[in-house]
Amino acid sequence: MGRYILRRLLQLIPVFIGTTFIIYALVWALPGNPFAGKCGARSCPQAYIDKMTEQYNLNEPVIVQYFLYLGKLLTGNFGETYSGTEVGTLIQNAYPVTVKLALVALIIEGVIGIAAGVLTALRGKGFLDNLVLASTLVLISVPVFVTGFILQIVLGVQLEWIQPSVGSDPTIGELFVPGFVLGSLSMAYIARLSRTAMMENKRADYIRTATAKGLAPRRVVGIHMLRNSLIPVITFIGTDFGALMGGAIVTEGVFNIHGIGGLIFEAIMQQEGTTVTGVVTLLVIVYLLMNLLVDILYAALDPRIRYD
Amino acid sequence: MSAVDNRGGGSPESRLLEVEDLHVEFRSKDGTANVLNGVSYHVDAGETLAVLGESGSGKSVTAQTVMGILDTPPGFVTGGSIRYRGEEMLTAGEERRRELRGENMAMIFQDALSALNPVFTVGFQIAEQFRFRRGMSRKDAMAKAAEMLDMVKIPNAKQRVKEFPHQFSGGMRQRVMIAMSLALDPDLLIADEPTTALDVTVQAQIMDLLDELRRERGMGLILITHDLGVVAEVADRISVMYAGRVVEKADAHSLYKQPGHPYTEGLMESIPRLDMKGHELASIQGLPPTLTNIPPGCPFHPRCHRAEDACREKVPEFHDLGLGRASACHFAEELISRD
Ligand SMILES: Nc1ncnc2c1ncn2[C@@H]1O[C@H](COP(=O)(O)OP(=O)(O)OP(=O)(O)O)[C@@H](O)[C@H]1O
Ligand code: SF4
Ligand SMILES: [Mg+2]
Repeated sequence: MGRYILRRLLQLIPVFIGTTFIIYALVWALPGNPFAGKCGARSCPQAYIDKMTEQYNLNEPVIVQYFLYLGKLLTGNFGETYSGTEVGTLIQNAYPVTVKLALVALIIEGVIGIAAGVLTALRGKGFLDNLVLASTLVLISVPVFVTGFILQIVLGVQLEWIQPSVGSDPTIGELFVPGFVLGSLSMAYIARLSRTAMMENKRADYIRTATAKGLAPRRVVGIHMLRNSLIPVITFIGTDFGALMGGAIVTEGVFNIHGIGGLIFEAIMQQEGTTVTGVVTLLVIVYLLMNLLVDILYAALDPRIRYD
Repeated sequence: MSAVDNRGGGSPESRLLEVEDLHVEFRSKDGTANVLNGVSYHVDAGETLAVLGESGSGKSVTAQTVMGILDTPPGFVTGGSIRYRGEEMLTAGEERRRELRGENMAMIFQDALSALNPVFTVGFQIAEQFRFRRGMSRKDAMAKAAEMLDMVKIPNAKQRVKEFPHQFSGGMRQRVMIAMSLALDPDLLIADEPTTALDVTVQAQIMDLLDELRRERGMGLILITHDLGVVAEVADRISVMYAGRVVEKADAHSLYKQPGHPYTEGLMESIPRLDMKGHELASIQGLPPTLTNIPPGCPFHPRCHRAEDACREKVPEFHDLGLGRASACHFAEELISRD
């Protein structure tokens, strides 16, 4: 197992370099003058432009710029924005909020998704099954920002149950509805995934064995069937954590949450290349590490899986 | 027929298990499959009943119905009786039936790999019966599980309880299955093709083990198989099934000497024999009937080399041939008096 993890970590290096280079190249090759509008209404003084060009090696070819950037990144230096703020500091402020939001989303999608999937699988055809089927269809087909706006307007503006706009240091309670919105797509997916897994396992031979042993139905379903059915679901939830962090941009925009999504959104609008690359690089790292973690988790959940 | 059918000395009331005229159908959109059409057999304590028949003849469905683990829907019991020590099972409540499962009647399955839960250790799966049926502590139950593995002669039992099903060889896995089924010391064991998935050499070991355990514990054993060769040594009595009915029943010895039903004869001719090496293996021509559309008269007539007009019209009665033998063929008497 140790050797497997080491191998996977080594494999991460080329993947990491490849993805970050693409991001870097895309961001810095963006058309438009990066200094446009940086100095108020007038164009920037030549002295300022020279200083910045020097600092970001803008005269060098992109590939050289990239490796110079990568070198700094490895020492933990995310660079500075044009206005001189440390990108590292910006990320430090925004990251915890997004992690919190993603965790809330993960818990909501896990609990509701699994409950809906398991219940419909056990009950079989009927009202509940149709209800869940229809609502998952709606959640899957309606874009997240539409779900977000509708909930914001109905719950926040009309019913005034929640704050339509979340403050800078939100509590878990405030993040409940945004978390629901963020996790809604995956929730629908989890409901279907767990339903299918339960249906498959229902007829499995080992379930028949468990029944033949005279175990209580509660134990047959709750231990034997559930434990097997949750393997794909839990691994999906693990992978989803990485994806949710990236997907938070829209939700954070709708609910005015000052997280990573907000940061990246602003940075793109202002053509702050350093910030964009820094944040996206971080998201890539988290995603890659989560995937590794999920593979390890998978082996822990299913003893038949052996790496190495 | 039961008047002459008293091998083992049990009266119908003291029978361990008595299945009588059992009817089961499977309903689906495409129609109703008449899977069991009046199955009757019985087994007494300490004896081995072999149930023979081609694939699809209803051997497993009968066993599942006895255990009360039939998939309902699509399967429905539409008639008959199953009595365990005289107690009617088909009208007993689910809670009572669950009480009997494991404790009084147990079952082992053909494919131990799929019949064991892949994500739990074999020790866990044996121990859970002690924990949840006998209220033992986790630790004591695990120790008992190791004892059970030891009993079925799995070497190194104390270590192996901690392993998962996929870490065992096929034969060892079937031993685990046997240990698990015997954990609560049942007096009736149904073994549904316990050796079919195994190598020939391992098959014999598993059969010997089952036979030994049956003798030691005085259990009744129902051995389901389509392999007549396996049966010869261990079975006391044999019931042969075709299209959801028992078509012949006899003690093992007389059945081998002289089958009383053309179908049994066909099955016997398809046993590979050493002295026949190189010869084409005879097998029964044609296929078993589709159970949604069983032919009228004798269900076997389209495949029977002896079939006459009467066979196509009249369902053969069960002909009592004495000494517990009976056959559902119009010519049963003739068949057994040949030499
Ligand atoms: N769950 C089920 N749903 C629908 N049909 C079933 C089901 N289980 C069994 N059957 C049908 O019942 C018939 C008898 O099956 P059964 O498994 O009892 O045969 P068998 O004698 O045990 O055969 P084999 O030797 O292949 O195990 C078959 O035609 C089968 O298709
Ligand atoms: S009754 Fe007729 S068809 Fe049926 S087994 Fe006997 S001889 Fe063959
Ligand atoms: Mg079968």
